[in-house]
Amino acid sequence: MSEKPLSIAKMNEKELESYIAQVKKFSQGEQAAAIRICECCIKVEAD
Amino acid sequence: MVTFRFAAGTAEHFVSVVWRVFEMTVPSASNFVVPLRSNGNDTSFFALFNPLAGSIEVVDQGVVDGLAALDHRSRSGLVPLGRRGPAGSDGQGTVFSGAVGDYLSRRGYLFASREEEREQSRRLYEAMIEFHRSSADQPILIIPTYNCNLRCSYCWQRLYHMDSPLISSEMLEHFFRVLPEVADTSRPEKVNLTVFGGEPLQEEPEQQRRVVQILERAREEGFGTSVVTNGVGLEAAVPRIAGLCDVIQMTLDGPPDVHSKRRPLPRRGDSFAAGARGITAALEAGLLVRVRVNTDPRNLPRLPELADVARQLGWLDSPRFRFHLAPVKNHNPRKPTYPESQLLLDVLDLRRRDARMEVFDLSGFSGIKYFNAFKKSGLFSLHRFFSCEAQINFWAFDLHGDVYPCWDSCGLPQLAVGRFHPEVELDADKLALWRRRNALDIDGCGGCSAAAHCGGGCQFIAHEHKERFDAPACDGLMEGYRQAFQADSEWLLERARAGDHAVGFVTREGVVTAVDRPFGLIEEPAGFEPIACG
Repeated sequence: MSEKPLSIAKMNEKELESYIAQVKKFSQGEQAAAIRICECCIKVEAD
Repeated sequence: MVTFRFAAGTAEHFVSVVWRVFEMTVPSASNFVVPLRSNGNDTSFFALFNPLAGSIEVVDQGVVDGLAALDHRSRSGLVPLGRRGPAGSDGQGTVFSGAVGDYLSRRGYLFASREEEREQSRRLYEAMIEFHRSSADQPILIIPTYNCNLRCSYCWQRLYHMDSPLISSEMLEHFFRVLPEVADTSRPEKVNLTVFGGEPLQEEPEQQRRVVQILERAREEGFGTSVVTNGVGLEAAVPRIAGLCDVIQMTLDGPPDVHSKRRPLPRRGDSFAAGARGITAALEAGLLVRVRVNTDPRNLPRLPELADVARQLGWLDSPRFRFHLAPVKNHNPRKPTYPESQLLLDVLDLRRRDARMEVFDLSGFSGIKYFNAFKKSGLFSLHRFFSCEAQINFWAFDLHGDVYPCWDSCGLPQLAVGRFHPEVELDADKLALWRRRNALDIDGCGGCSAAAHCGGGCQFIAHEHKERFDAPACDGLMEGYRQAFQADSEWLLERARAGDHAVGFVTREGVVTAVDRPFGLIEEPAGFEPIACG
């Protein structure tokens, strides 16, 4: 049985840290345009 | 993650041991099961979705029954730990084979205990809120006046009788001077400054100069800029703000008669024509125009006519134009609420019956938005247990010198978290009530499958309705997911069978296609699309 988690719900702190670092790297690399962090960044509000 | 060692033995022994491990599991409280449909009929398959894990699989009835059995046992205590028979032996014993249990656990649908899930949920919340704070753009709102020239029936600011004079030029200069003491402006290209109101584009010369002053100063700082307007003064403002403003957001609630009735000028004048001219002028000037349609059961049936108007006026031909529906929120606890989930069903029903509705983006319904993003990116939203930017890094500044943590709270001094004039003074305790709010600490959110993504809902509405922040403000998030999954049942089934996306395929008998793409499609050589946390 593999121990590798297939979801962030099963990552330990070290794995989660590594995962987030990788996403941050994506957000600063050539995929930057594809990474919009959270709904807040595209949120529009009522007038 | 549960680990174990066992001596080499038969396959049967392997299955038995693995089964014993997973017999000590409980299904995640975030599991959400939706029957998939084909041509209007139920298929024999289901979407198994988990907002905590960000995972989705297509599963058969056997998996659904197995999860239900595990849930029943964990709640009833019918099966004492360590006293179970081999897999497939009897009604109390058979749950999942080793491979299926292993996979479901690693994908986040099973935990060793409720306590383990709670601990992991807390860990994810802490990690993801920090991630967002360090990565998200810096939103900043400036309110030069609370005065407005419309009297919209559903406006929450009107509910609070807001009005005010205009911000002074000196106050504005002071605002830009002290802004770095409050917000993170170290990366100007990530700062988005929005001019809000009241109505910022009224045709008063002094106000016009002040708005231009804001936009010019923001440009000098290198910030992105946008203006939220009701559109009445937009046409006249365009020559002044073109080149200084990136995005205009305004609201149209229907064809002219509907819009003017819901968003009337003080003497019941036509508010639609002026707004329409403003949109055309803004598009011609090269501005991005986002038109929001505040939607409820009263204007929904007339929205296809609004689509006709937009087409006739040529807006739909512009790549700089975007229409989106947003449910009208209930800010008045004394009035009955039309459920957002029901409104979504009404919207989708109308969309099925009338193709003109396709021009409206449904991103105002977050379950729909998140699933559409998943289809493109292979990733579900990365936020966990918080609701919006009020929990991340949002700052609003008004003409009185007050500082607020949320759009809707602006103008209510009791909800201010500090001042920026005459000096910056922030109340850390009041701010923490916003920044630290999360669904894990809200009693009413316990055990709700939506909690990881909805984060307890809108904090301001919770306060309006319950007079406290630690109350849930439920919306139609999960109904959005349900409708999106069912509408895209064929797509989910195809992706699950092909194994070419981030959708797994699991039956009681085994894992047909497994997902091992922690970053969705982002790592794929080509073809990725923006994710909406995302």
